[in-house]
Amino acid sequence: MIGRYALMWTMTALVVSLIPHVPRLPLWFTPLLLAVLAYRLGSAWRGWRPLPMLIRFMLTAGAIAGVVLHYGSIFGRDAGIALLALMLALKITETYKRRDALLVTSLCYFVVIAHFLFSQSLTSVPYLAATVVVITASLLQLSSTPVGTGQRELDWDWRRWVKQSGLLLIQAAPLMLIMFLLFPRLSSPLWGMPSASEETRTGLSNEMSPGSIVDLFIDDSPAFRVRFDDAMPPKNLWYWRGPVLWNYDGRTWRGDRSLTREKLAQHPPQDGLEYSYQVELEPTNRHWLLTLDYPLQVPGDAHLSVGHQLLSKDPINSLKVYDVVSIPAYSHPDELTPKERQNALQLPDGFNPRSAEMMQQWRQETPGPRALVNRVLRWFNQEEFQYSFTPPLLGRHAVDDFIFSSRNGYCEHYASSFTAMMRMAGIPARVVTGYQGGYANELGDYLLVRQSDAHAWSEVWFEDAGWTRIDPTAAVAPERIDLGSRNAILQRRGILDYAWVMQLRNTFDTLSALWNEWVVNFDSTSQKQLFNPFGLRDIDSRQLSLIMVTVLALAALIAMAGLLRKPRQRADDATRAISPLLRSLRRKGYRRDPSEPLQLYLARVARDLPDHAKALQKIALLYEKARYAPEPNVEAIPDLIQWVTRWQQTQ
Amino acid sequence: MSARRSIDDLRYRIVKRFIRLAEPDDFPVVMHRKRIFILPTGFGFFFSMLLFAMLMGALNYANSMGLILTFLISGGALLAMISVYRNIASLRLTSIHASPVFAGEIAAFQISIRDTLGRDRPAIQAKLRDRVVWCDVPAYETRELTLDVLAKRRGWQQLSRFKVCTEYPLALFNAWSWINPYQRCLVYPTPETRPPPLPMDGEPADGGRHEHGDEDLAGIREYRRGDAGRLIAWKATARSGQLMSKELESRRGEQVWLAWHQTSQSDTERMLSRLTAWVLDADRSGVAYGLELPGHKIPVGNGPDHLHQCLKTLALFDGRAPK
Repeated sequence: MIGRYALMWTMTALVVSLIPHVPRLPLWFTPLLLAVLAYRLGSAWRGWRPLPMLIRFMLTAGAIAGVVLHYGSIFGRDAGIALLALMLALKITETYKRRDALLVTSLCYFVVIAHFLFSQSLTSVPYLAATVVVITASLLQLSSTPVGTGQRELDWDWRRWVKQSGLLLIQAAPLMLIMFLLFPRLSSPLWGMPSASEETRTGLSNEMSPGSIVDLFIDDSPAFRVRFDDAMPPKNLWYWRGPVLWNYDGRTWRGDRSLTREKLAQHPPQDGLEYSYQVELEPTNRHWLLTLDYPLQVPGDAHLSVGHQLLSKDPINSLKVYDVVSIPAYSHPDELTPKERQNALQLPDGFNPRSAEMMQQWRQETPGPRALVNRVLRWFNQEEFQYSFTPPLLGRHAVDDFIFSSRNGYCEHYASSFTAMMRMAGIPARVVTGYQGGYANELGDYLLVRQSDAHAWSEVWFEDAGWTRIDPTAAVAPERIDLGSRNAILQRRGILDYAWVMQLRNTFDTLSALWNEWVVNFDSTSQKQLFNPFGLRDIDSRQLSLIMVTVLALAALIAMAGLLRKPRQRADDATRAISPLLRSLRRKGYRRDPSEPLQLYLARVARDLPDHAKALQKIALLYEKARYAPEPNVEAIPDLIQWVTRWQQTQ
Repeated sequence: MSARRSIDDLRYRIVKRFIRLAEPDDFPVVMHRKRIFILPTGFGFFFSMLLFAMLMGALNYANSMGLILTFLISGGALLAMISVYRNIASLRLTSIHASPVFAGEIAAFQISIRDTLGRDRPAIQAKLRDRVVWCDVPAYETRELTLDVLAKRRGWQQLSRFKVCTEYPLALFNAWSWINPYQRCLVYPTPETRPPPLPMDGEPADGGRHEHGDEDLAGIREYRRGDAGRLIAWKATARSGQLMSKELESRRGEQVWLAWHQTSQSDTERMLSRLTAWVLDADRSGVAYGLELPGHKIPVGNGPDHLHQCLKTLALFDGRAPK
C-alpha cells in the first residue's frame, strides 16, 4: 500500500501532464478523470473499498468503446493519445502498490512527449518544463518509500521534492545538451508520419467560399517567416502566393486537381530583380508552400504547378524550411493551353444575370482587356464600395448581390466578384489566395507573416503580358495593402494594436523564431553544420555517435568526480584555523618536529613565552577538541579562530 | 607457473569479493565501494524501455522537443545511477545491538547507521529476506533500524546475513551491500505459564505456602550494583542524598535453591522452562535464590545481574535431563 502523499503525488503528476491534452480529448474524459480521482481519494481517506475487478473491466471496455465511437478507431495519433490518457486515468483506480504508482508516474513522461506531436511552440515550454519537474518530483517521492512498506508516511513537504527534482534536472541538462547536439538523427523516418487528415489547422484552405478567409483575420498566430538573403523587396510586392483557384460554382472557388498536378514548363532564365530568401513555414498539414510572386528556383522536394503554385511532395506536418528565388517582375511567355483557357473562363450557368449583362455591355464599350480591367477597378473605387469584415449575407446571385446592392465586403468578395466579372467579359482570370503584407522584425531581421494577413486577389490573362496580378481590394481600400488587414478597419483596433503591445509581441516572435531555428528545426543538416568550424565536413552518424559517446563519458566522469568527491573533513577546518599561528611561530624560530604533537609543541613554546602561555594552552585545547573529539566538535572552531586572531593581534 | 598462480590468486580474490559468506564483518562496517553493488531494478528495466520508445518516436518524427525531453530524462537516469551509489557510499554501520528476549518473543536487532560525510541519506533500507525497514539518515547523524527476528529457541539467535540498500533517487537502480553480522541475541527459555510455587527450603513444590506481598524490612543499606529497582528506599535516598536499598527479611527460609531435581519434570526443555519461571518468580518476590544445574552452580544472590546470569545459564544449558 502506498501512502496518501505518494498517491497525491502520482495523481498530481498525472493531472498536470494530462491538462494540455484535454482540449483534444472527448468531452466526457474530464468528468471521468475527476470521478476516478475522487473515488481513489475517498478510498485513501475514507477507506472505501477498491473497485471490484468486474467494474474495472467494464470501465476499461467502455473507455475503449468510447474512443472507437469518438475517433472511429483506436489507431492514429489522436485516438492513441486518448486511449493512453484513459488507461492511465483508469489505472489510478487500481494504484495501491508502489509499483503501480511508479508505472503511472513514469508514463506521464510519455503523455508529455505525446503533446509535442501536436505543438512544439515556445509558449508551451514553461508549462511542460514545470510538468516534467512535477513528474520527477513524484518519482523521487515514490523512490524514497521502499517497496511494500507502509511503516511511516512521509511528510507532504512538496518543496523538498520539487527542489530535489529541479536539482536533478538541472544536473541532467548538460548531458541532455550533449545528446541533443550529437545524437545521430534519422535522415528519413522509419515509419510513417501520423496521419492528420481529420485534424483541422487554421490557415488557408484549398477552396474559397464566403467567410473562409475572415476566420483567419482574427487568428494572430504566425503563418511563416521569411529571411531575405539581401535586401527586402518593397512593401507593395509582399504578395505571398498560395493556392490558385480556377473552378467557380457560383458560390465557392476551388483549385483544379489536374492543373495543380501538372508541372510548369521549364523557362529560360529571365532578367529582372531577383530575390532569394528562406521561408520557415509553420505546419499546415497541406502540400502548398508559400512563395513571393513569382517563384522561379524552388527546392528539390517540391514542384511548381501550372498556376505557379509551389507544392511540396509531402504534407507539411512540422516546421518546414525551404529556399526560393523569386522574380516579382516575371513575365509569362507561354501561350495559354486550351485546358487552362477553358478553366480560366469557366462560369456556372444561370447565375448573376445582371452583372453578366453589364460586363457584356462594358466589353463592347471599352477598347481592350486592359481598359476593361481599369474600368472595373475605377468603378469599385468610385462607387460606394466599402471594405468591411461584417458584410451582409449574399443570396444565390452572389456577384449581382455584391456589386449592385450590398457593396460591402473584404478581399474575398472583391477577388471573387472581380474574377467572375472578368470571365463574364471573356478575359481569362483566376483567383489566387495567400497572404499579403507582413511585419518586418528588425530584431530578428526577418519578415513575419501572420494568419491574419491572409488575402485573396485575382490574376487575369493579357495576351501580350500573360498572367497579371490585379488586386481589386486595393482599389477599394488601398490601406489594406499598405497597413495590413489589421489596421484597415479602425473599429477593430484593440489592445493588441497598441505600438508597445505590438513591440512586445514581435519580440516574443523573435524568440519563437530563434526557438524554431535552434531547437524545433535542429535536424541532421544542422547537426553536420555544427562540425564545419572544426574542419569536419560530411560527418556520418558513426563518427557522430563516437563523438557523442566520448563527450558523454567525459561529462559522466566530471559528474562523478563532482558528485562523489568526499566533502572536506570538518577537522581540517581546525587545522586551517591554527595555521596562521603555526606560521608566525615558525617565523619566530620555533621549529616543530614532524612527530611532535601540537599540544606538546605549544606547551614548549609557552614555556618560552610565558605572557602567551594561557592563550597557547587554550588554543591547543580547542584544537584537540575540534579535531580529536569522538564527535568532531564543530562549535569549537569559531572559538579557535577567535583565539588565533586575538593571538595574532597581540603580536 | 607464476601466471598460473596469479590466476589462482585472482580467482580467490574474486570469489572472496563477490561471495562474502564466510567471514563476519568487523564492526563498524563502512560502506566502501568494494562492497557496494548496483543493478537496475525491475522498474529501471521498464523505464529504459519507455525511454527507448520515446527515443524512437522522437527520432522518427524528428521531434526536437521530444528528443530534448528523452535526453533530459536519460541524463537524469544516468545521474540517478551515480546518486544511488552516492546515497549509500561511506555510510557507517556503527553497531548492532539486541537485548535478550525469551524464546517465542521477537528479537529486535537495532542497527545503528551513521553518516560521516555530511550528506543527507534518504530512504536507507535494511532488508532481511522479505522484511524491509527503512529510514532517512540526516547528515552527520545516527539513525537506528530495527530488524525483528522471531526467537524460536533458547540459546543464541544469530542475526543472519542482511542487505543494506537504497533506491533513492528515482527507484531505477538498487545499490546494496551485504552485511554478515557476528552479532547475536541471547534467547532465554520460555518461562512456564503457570508454574508451581517456589520450592522453599529445598522442599519439593506442593503449593499453598508461597505468598507475595508484605515482606518485612530488615534494614537499610547503601545501594549496591545489582539491587532490584523495587528495593530502592526512596525516602532514605532523599534524606541521605545517595541511593539506599532496603534489605528485606526474606520469608521463612530467606533463600531458595532452584535445582534440577525439584522440577519434577523429565523433559529438559520443560525443566528449563519451569526453572526459568521460578527464577523470575523469585526475583519478583525478592527471595534470594541460587541455581543448580548439572555442571553449573550459581550461588544464592539477588538483583538484575544475578537474574541475567541465571537466565543465561538456563538459556545456554546444553546438558541432558538426568534419567
